[in-house]
Amino acid sequence: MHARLGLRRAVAGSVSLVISVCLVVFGGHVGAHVVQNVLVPGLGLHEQSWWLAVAVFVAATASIVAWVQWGVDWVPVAIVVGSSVASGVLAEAGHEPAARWVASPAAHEFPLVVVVVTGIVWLRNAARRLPLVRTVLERRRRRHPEPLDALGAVDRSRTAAVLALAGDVERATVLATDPRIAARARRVGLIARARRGPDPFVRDHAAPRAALALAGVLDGDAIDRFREDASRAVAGVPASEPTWVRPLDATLAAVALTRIGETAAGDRWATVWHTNLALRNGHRPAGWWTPLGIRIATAPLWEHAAASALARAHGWHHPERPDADWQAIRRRLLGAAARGSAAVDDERAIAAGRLWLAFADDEQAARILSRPTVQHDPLAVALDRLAAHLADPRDHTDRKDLVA
Amino acid sequence: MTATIDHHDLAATEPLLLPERPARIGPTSRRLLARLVVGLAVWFAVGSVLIAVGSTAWRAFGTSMIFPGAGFLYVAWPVLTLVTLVAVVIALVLWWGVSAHFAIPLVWLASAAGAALLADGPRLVVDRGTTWGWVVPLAYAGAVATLGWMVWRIESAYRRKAAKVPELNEYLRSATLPAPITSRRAPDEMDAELLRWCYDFAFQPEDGLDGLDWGEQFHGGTQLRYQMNSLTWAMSLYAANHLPNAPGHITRALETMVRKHTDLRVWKYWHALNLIGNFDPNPDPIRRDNIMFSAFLGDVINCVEAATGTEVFDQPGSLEFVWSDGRTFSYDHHTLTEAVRRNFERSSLGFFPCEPGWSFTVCNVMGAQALYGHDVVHGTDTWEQVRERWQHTLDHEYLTPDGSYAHIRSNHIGVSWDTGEVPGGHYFANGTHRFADILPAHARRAKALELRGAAPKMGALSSMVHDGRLDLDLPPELERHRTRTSKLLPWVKIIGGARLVGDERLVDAAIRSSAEKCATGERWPNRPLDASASGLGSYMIVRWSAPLDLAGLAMRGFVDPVGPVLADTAWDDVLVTEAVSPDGDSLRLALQPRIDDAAVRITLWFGQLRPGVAYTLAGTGEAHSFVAGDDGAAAVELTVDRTLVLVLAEAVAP
Amino acid sequence: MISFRINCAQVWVRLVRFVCKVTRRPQVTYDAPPMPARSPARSAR
Repeated sequence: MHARLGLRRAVAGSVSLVISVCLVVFGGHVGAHVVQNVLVPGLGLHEQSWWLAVAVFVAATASIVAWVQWGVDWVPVAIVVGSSVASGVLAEAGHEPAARWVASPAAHEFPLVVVVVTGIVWLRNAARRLPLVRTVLERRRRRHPEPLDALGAVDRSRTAAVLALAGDVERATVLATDPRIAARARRVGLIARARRGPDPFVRDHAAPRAALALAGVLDGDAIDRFREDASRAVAGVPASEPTWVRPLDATLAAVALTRIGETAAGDRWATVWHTNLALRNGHRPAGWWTPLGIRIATAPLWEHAAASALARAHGWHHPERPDADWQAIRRRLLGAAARGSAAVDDERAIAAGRLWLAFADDEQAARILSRPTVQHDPLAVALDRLAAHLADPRDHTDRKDLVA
Repeated sequence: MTATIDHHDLAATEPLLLPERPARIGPTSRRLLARLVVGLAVWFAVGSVLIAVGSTAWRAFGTSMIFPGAGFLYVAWPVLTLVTLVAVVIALVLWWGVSAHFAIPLVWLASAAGAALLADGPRLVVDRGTTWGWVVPLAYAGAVATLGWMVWRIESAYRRKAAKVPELNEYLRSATLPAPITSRRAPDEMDAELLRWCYDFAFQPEDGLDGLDWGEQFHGGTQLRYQMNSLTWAMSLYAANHLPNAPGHITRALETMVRKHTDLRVWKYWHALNLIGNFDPNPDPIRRDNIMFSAFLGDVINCVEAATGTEVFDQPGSLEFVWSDGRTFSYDHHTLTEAVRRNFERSSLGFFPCEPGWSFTVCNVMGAQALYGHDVVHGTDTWEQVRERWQHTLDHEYLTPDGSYAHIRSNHIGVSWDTGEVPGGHYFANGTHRFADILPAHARRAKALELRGAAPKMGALSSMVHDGRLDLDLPPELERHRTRTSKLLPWVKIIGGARLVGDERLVDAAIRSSAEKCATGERWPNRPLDASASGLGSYMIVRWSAPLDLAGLAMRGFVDPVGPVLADTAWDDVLVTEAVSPDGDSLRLALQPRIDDAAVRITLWFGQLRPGVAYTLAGTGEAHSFVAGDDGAAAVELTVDRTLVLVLAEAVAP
Repeated sequence: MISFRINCAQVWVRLVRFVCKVTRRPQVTYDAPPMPARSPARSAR
């Protein structure tokens, strides 16, 4: 799989390089505008209209967010292709493009896309922490006073899956079968892939399917489809959204598949976990784009902690460095504990850190992580409950063994 | 006896007189001031040169160097002069408030640069380029007047105080101090409510700090650290005076209170202060300066250990301060004390700062207390290592001729001023022990001097006591954060003053009446009395300061309880408000249901009984008999549906 | 050696009040943000 992805990246890179060079060398002024626009959507149109250029840029940015969030990949492609064609058509003959530097080969396009997407994701996360934005988000949350109401569909699925692992199957079932989850999956399937069938979970949607499987709600056909989807997937487990694999969702799916007898899925996921999604500078990626196997952004601390702890619990860690993730995230987890559980991300990180305490013999971390009260965010509460479940010696002969 | 008073006997201490020919300024402060004077002289010289030989712009610059904002007046922008003066005041407040040492120089320089830039520029009401040359001598006059006024203030205050020295020494030679109040007042309903509030606060979830006032953490009266300090001191007093023979629950509560001091919200202000004042990004709250946290916490731990004997905080790493990025600064009682000692040693002034660059007498007294109390509990000599130099600093740098001490001193330029934090900017004594433990002779002198003012007032109040009450409707006072008033604050002063003069009748009356007049009927997280959390803490301290006050507790150290002990019970179901052994053989116990009107069936487990001896437990409608086991333990079951006052005593042979 | 009097404490509170007004935050709250008050836990035994 590694070799296959490498080949794909090489082919994609070469083709885009060739096309770019041809456009620049043989396309003249028009070709240069097109390449400009491919690199920075809207740039190729700035000579025609600044407003149009800005509008295209904003639309492209928004569409990239939608692509990363929901796997709606055709929209940014359409915007980039459409605006690039338009920029070529509208380019004035004989007029030198303003930015000569753009004529450089677009061999850097893909890393640039990665950088741009990573930057957008980072900006989005950072913006949520800005005072004004935080106030707006808080107001939105206050309109839904019950924490569960404020939970998005994906987080709802994750919560259900974790609760099921913690043994609270009843509550997990209620959450996992929430019609809002299926409605979202249907919407994403329709917009991203024009899927209209009766089953919204026919492909992808790792978190909801993992939750349903762990809660024991999937019927025979659904289980078969789940297995089949996993066996065909590059990562060994279904994606979260079309072409996007996210660490926690994928790990939960691997756990669910293992529990329904598909242990090979767990092994395949383990390989991806410590190769393609391996720790780099103490971080794992927030997402993995399966067509070319590209890592995007860094996973939030809580997701890194939760996914790695679950992987550790199932023996999917690196054989020589079983606690490498713990060493990488330990200090940041203590920082989350110090900040307290007021912020959702911190509360989840604290609870996810407690998962790791079942494996890490770390008295100081145990003391510090046990101080904050986890009680607001449902996913954090579920993770905390799972941590208590792992720590309770009465529940398992091997307290670290989550496999039923 | 369950609590022994081990005050240094202040009455027997030789009177410490005031210096007959006091110095105006101490040697270190003189050196620092000299440095300031030299710096200012150079600054004025440069300014004068610029005025003398420079262009219009440089003259404007130089004029501002002579007096902040004068350059703007020179270039006919009087509005900007006013703005500069306001900015200087704000800069001064920021200098004091957050150790922004660069603030005044920055404003001064900015006013000079701004004036220079405007020299050839437009004017508001006069022609472009107009300059008012008459401002230059005015600037010099202003500078001289300001400096002269400061010098005059210092000199006149010095002379006024020095003139009093012979009279004060005469008084000190013959002053008799009232005996401290050492009798124990049995806890009443309000004490039970306050204890309940303390337990509710302590046993909320580990990360909970509900019940405190919240606001900015630098100066505004809402600092979490001081609220935590006062509550923990108060609870330590209650433990030592009223619960020495039922230590289990109160000990856990006090340990939790100490741990809550390590909550990031309590100490994270230090990072900003250290960065602004020392240009040091290290968030460690103990290592350097910040005596207002480290010493106070050290003293708090001293009190907790003296009251309960707990050794939890003697273990390495028992005090973990975790910063928001996960860095952990681990201390324990010993390393914390050592850090305080080390900071004293490093300081050239002899006192070390709270906010960087500012050394306060009260906080350095707490620093001394932190060392002394640690020595008492652990048998070390950290206070002795610094005492001589510390005392020298107190007596030569901070002492004013009339026996009061300046509240604040700049470590950089040796200046003090009245910051408005305490009346007049000075006091005879401060800290929670008022020198009683660290320097008994100084304590005696300070107490005698305070009595001169307090005794007549307390005497007048004492005459108003009728039927054990002080029926006064005192006007509410503004809380320190100035956002609301409190009816309780004036009562705190009366009770404290009554204790100072040793008027037990007035103390009891004020305690009773304050509870009646200021009660709110509320429970945690609201407050049972009309006060802020720090006001509540202060009230509990003065209420519970007998037979042991905080100084007495620190000097006594921990004493194992004598006589029968209530080892365990259903602490969550019943509130034990009193457990004392008046004679070493019996146990007086007071308890009530934890939840109102909820009768609970509980077991009382006793220990430290005489093996094989028959005991009775009787009082308030209860009568039980039992024989102590071979291990000196016994258990009694009873129903608690109201307040019970019981006495456990050896059965009298028929 | 008290050289002059500027009531820094009062000016400070007024500055804080001004900043709180501008940022629309309360100067003092008499319970504990950000967590709502919780009932006291059972004491650790």
